[in-house]
Amino acid sequence: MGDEQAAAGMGATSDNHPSLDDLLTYATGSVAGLDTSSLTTHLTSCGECAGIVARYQLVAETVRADALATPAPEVLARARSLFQRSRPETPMPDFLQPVRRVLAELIFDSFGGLTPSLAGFRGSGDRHMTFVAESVQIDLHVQAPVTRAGIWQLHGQVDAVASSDSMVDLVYAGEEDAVARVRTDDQGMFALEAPAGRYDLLVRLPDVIHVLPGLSIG
Amino acid sequence: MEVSDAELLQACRAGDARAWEQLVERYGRLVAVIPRRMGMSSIDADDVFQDVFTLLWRHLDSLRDEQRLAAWLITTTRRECWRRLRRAQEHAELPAETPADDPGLLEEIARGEREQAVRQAMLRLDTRCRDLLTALFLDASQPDYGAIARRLGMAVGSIGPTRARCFRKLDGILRELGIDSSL
Repeated sequence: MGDEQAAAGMGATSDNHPSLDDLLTYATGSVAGLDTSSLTTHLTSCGECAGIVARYQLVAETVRADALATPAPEVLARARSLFQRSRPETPMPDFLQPVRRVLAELIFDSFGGLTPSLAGFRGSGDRHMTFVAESVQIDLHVQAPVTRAGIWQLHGQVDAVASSDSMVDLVYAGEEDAVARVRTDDQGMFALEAPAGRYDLLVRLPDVIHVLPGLSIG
Repeated sequence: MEVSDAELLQACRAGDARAWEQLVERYGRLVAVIPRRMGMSSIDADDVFQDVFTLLWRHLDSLRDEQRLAAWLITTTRRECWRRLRRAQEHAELPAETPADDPGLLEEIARGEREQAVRQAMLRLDTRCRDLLTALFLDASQPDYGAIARRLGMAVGSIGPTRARCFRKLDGILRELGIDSSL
């Protein structure tokens, strides 16, 4: 690079830029032999040269981060071999497809109860629960009525397996008709409202319905 | 010409195992870096890696925005990390943040996409430039030019000029990929 000026070499028009070599050396932080004060001053007023320094540092950070987090060969091999498994086909339309039902297991309850069938919300205060059904995790947060008398708020998230566009139904326990129905957003989030009662929550995925049973609210 | 993500995804859907391997190669580091940045052990990071690619594999047919595969992987990886971290403290209070309202997510997506562009740009460089820049970046604070020159079969005096020439190429590719002064 020699005396070639950095930004000029990168397509800028001004002719008062430091050399590219100096900029790259400055970007590494090893500044011995450089006139750092004039470089620093230049960089505060020259977006082109500041961009060069920033991009060089971005590349350095990426290369260093990757070196520390390179997946082990066996991990990569496992991921590659996923393709050898049979992948679920695109789901058929609902009316053609027999739908399995899977009872979700309660694995976390901020109130301490671990029996799904007893997962009630009597009393006040918020409650967080986590259910797992096969490989799907469903988080549920139940809030007692605050602004609207008698109306409880249910916020939840279906994990990335189910991701977006799942339908979530709140039905009276043991019944099929939805009291409230909502579609998850692109983060798998959903929000429902319901009066006190005993419900099942149905998370409808393309090939399976996950059932969170016996939710007694209020 | 590099095969696009959309083309790779389509090839995967058509049953092309090689396309799947290319996807794993292309995005493996992006996925691997996130759990380590979140402080997870290498064992947990490996599990997250497997989970995320399993999810990708399962969702090949339903990915809606093929142009944002990196963003999908970053979001999914962070969610998987959160899930594991929360399970690890199953009997403690859940953290206030959930992946969906994670305030750092957009920043992480922007950063991850920039870093992914760097990986793509590095792959487009010739081997000599890539090896030199990698060697210099890995030993950035006080690079041992003598050792690097010996390893790469270069004259010590040519390292500085070659670095500038190689970076100029790399920078051109980065700009083509949309990584400009607005970092």
